[in-house]
Amino acid sequence: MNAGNIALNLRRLLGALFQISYAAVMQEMSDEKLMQRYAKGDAKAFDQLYARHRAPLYRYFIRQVNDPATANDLYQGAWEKIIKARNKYHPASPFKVWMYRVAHNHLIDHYRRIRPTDPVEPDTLSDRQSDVTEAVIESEQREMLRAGIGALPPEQRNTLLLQLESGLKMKEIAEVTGVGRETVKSRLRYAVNYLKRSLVE
Amino acid sequence: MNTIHNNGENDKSLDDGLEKLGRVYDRLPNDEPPALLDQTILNSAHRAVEKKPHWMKFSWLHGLTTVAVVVLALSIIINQREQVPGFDDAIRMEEESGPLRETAGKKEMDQLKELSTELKEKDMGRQVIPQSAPVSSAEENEVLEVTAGDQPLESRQRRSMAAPDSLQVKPDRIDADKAVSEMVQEESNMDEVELPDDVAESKQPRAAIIGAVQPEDAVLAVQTDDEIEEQLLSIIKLKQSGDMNWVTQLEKFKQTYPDYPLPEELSN
Repeated sequence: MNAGNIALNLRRLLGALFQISYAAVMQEMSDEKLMQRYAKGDAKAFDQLYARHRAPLYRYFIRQVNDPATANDLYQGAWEKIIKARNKYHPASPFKVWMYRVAHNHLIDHYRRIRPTDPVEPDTLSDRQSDVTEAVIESEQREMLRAGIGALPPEQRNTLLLQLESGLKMKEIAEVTGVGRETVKSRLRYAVNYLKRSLVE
Repeated sequence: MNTIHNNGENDKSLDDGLEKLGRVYDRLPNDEPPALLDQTILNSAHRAVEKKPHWMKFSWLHGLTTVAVVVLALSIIINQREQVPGFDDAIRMEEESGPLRETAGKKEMDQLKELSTELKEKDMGRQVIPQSAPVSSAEENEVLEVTAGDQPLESRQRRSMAAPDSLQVKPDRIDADKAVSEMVQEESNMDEVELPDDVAESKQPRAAIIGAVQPEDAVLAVQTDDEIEEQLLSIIKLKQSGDMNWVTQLEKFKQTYPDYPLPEELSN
């Protein structure tokens, strides 16, 4: 083995060590730091950020619309908006809140496109309930829950999914959805009661 | 107090409900985005922050540089053309208006030749007076009287045409005749005309240069004489009509054109 090969192997080893250490540093970095780094041009930071949030965000969409194709579109669109708005992100607010706000707004835009009028109000819940109940009788508990979530009015479903998927606190959900904390609590209460009833039946 | 207690209970029941629901929810299949979608998003994210080459950051500089180069090149060309104006002008004049000028020159030459022939014929009739000899004012008056009496106004006008100011020839009749004959002689020997050095050095044809100067002066002279004759005619008319203003008009005329030969009606 000549000196050239040794130098080359040493370089490769150092490169690999650097990659590992860099990845380890990235893993320990907060979302906010990663987003800041990405905004400055570090694509690896985005990879890490994406790995952290891809599944919850995707589930947030697919459980909202119950249609994989639409969910894929919404998911991709939301990430593109995040990428485009990378320089507008302010690290003072938590990245997760900012990301779900972008996703929420994207979803609202989608609802507006397909349904110009306001979606279902909580009062119409009872009308849907019987349909949902009929639909879930023959299903297992998970499917019942999935169907129950799908049958919820969009506001309640959105609030519930933000709670279950992202783990955001009520205050943060209020910030994402642009409503008061009490409204969030009320929506959650309605959603939980409805799903409880559905599952019991 | 009761309300606070109720609120607390409600919150607790909500939290319990959410906890139970969460446990069931966690058992739901872990839906994940397709790998292809992941790759698309990651590629898009990487492209967005891809570092552009240094020169692409200043793409506006390319346009600016191009404009600057074009402006510089144009200014150099214009500057060079200004430094050698005679060359370009001569070529342009020859190309654009050369044929027209030649035509105008020919016309004028024909006119001058015709005039010189008339004058020569006239000189033949009064060979007594040597052309080169100085003529006294008395003799001149005598000759004037003879010519003015014998010849119509038109012939006198033609004679006066032979002495335009622009040619710097004295308006005396004999000198004028001499000048005209010399001019005609010069034009007939056009190739032998000595041109100034700067003009001679240029590649412009001699005929074009000569033609460019002479016709305009000749036309001006004709126009001036027409006006003078008109003035004279108006004074004669005034005199004939018995208007005494003709005297003042004549005085003015004499002051303006002291050397112009007066017709018989006014010279008396």
